[in-house]
Amino acid sequence: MSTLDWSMMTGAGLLGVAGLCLLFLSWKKPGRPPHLAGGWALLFGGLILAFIANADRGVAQAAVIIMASATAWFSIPVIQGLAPPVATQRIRTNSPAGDTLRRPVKAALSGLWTFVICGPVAGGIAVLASAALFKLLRPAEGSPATAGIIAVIASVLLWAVLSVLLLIEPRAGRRSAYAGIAMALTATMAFI
Amino acid sequence: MATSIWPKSSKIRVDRSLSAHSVMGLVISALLFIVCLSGTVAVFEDEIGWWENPVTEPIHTVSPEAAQTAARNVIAAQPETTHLYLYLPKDNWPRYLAGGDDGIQTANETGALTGGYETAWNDFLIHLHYYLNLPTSFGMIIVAIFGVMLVAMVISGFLAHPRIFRDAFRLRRNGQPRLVQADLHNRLSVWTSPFILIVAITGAMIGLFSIVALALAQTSYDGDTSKLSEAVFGAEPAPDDTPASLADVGTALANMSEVAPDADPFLVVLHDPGTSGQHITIYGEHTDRLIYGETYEFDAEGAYTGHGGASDGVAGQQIASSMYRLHFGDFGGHAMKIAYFALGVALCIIVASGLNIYFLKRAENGRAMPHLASAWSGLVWGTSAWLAVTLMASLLGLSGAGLTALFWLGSLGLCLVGLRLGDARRTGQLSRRLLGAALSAAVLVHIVRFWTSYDNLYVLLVSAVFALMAAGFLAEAAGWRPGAQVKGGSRHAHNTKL
Repeated sequence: MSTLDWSMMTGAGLLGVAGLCLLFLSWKKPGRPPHLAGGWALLFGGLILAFIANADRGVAQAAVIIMASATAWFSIPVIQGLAPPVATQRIRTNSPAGDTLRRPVKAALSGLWTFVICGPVAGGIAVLASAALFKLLRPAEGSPATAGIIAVIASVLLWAVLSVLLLIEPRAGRRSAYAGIAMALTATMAFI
Repeated sequence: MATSIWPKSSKIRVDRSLSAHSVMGLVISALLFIVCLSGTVAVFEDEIGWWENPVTEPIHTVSPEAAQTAARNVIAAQPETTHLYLYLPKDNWPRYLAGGDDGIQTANETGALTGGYETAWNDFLIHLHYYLNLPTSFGMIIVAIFGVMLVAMVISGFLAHPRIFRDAFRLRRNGQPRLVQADLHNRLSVWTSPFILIVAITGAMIGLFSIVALALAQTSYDGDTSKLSEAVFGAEPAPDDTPASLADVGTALANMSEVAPDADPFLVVLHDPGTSGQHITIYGEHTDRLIYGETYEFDAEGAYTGHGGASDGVAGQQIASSMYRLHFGDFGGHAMKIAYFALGVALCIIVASGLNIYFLKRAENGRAMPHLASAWSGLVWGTSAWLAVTLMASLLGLSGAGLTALFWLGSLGLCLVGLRLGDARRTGQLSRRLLGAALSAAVLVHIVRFWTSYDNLYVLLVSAVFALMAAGFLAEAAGWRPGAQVKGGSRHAHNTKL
């Protein structure tokens, strides 16, 4: 890196830290939109400057500097000492028995089914959807590398999103139905 | 009162998201913590690896002649090897290694093999992080799934906390313990979320690549699983086993400065050495890119024949090549590694405080689980402690399965001790005492074994850092607390401190 690049990277780091400070001020004294907008603008400005200085590696470095600065900020009160995670109420050991305690086998089976749906089944749907996406994106001529990597990224993100969405659905029947329909649809699309 | 720029969230959606976040956390937290902890330490795998066995002097440059000599020495030692590797020194890694299919050794400035590259603890640590000590192909997929679940935790976390940006800097030190823990969990989560997403996604991509490649092979390539890999990482030419004299690695290395003056060569791979089909790949680091390295190809005479395209190929190749450095924070020398380590520690705190919140909430609702909370404390601090114990044990000669057994049985033992004690604070203190003692012992054993290597700054620094950490944990376990005493909790409260 040249001296100019180093200067720009230093500037990017400083812009990022200044952006954090402005965001802190806007949080400390709410109702000042310019501080909020300015904070985000400085953060993004820092990232852009870092890209100019050192391409994608520069962006990653600036992002790490910003995150590490924020983490360092929060480490101060942690080092000073936090209230210990000690429960503030006495424990009632005779807690009211819930559904889980009354019907442990059914609860365990239900939990296992939820795990299967939100884990392996969601994963299967995600991989099949990615395979379908790959078919759509793959160029007729030339390298399929980009389509392949998009498919890999999509499988990771889709799996995560599907797991969350299926877990958010409170009714086990609907959750299973959604997963079944999605599996059938994505399998059809992937193998057509 | 200030108005939020964020759309108002439905309470039902928030509650359900929080429930999903909690359920997922309960299922994955224990093993996720071990993956995060081992990954955090593994950021310094190169440095710790050298500290573990510092029998060679630092080497800053390797001449083409020394490269050719090392290649000849490797072939003499491993005549049947199908690949020959020369790891060249880098700015933050002044070492020279050479080897083949049957192992790697250190080499000196002339290219003579000097042995002494056994780093049992580093190998154990990497195996723990990559595979959770399971069989490799299965373990990598399991760890990748934890990466996916970590992404899901980030998504559900954001959905469950609509005020997360409005409260971006709120961190209460005192008051209701659950809220203090929740603030710590949420603030660290939101500010480190890009890091968490990047390490989780890249880790999951590395591990799930083979699964997706298998699926794409079935749906798009008539079952040919190599198509995607070849498109992304390139294909090797067909071998020609006719015997030939050893390729001119030195000339290829000498030519690198003309072919790619801006790339720092750090790895030389000779494919099919001693055959007519042999060819040389030199990996060059581009210090303005995140790619692991561009691959420069040379023929057996050392003449340049082309490059792989990681730096200027299609986007997919460039993205795939950037996974490793993004995952391990190896893109800015020691400064970035230290920052990645700090962010990794933050991630461990996020995972630990997540279950803290769960146990505190249950206690507030009159359904405390002091024994499980204590077992969780045993896991969080016990796995850390047993990592240090295995480090000490490896310096005393234990390796391989012995280290694996020691770590898992020891960690399980501390969890059981915690479960039996039912006192998270005491379990945590015991574990931290063990951690401090084991780290101190590891440094002492290291000094005794490698006293003559302490003129090497790397060795001295790593020992000093370990000693400082040990002192910190021992002091904390002895009751010393930095900063002022803080208020919180009731005198009669049940003890669920982690």
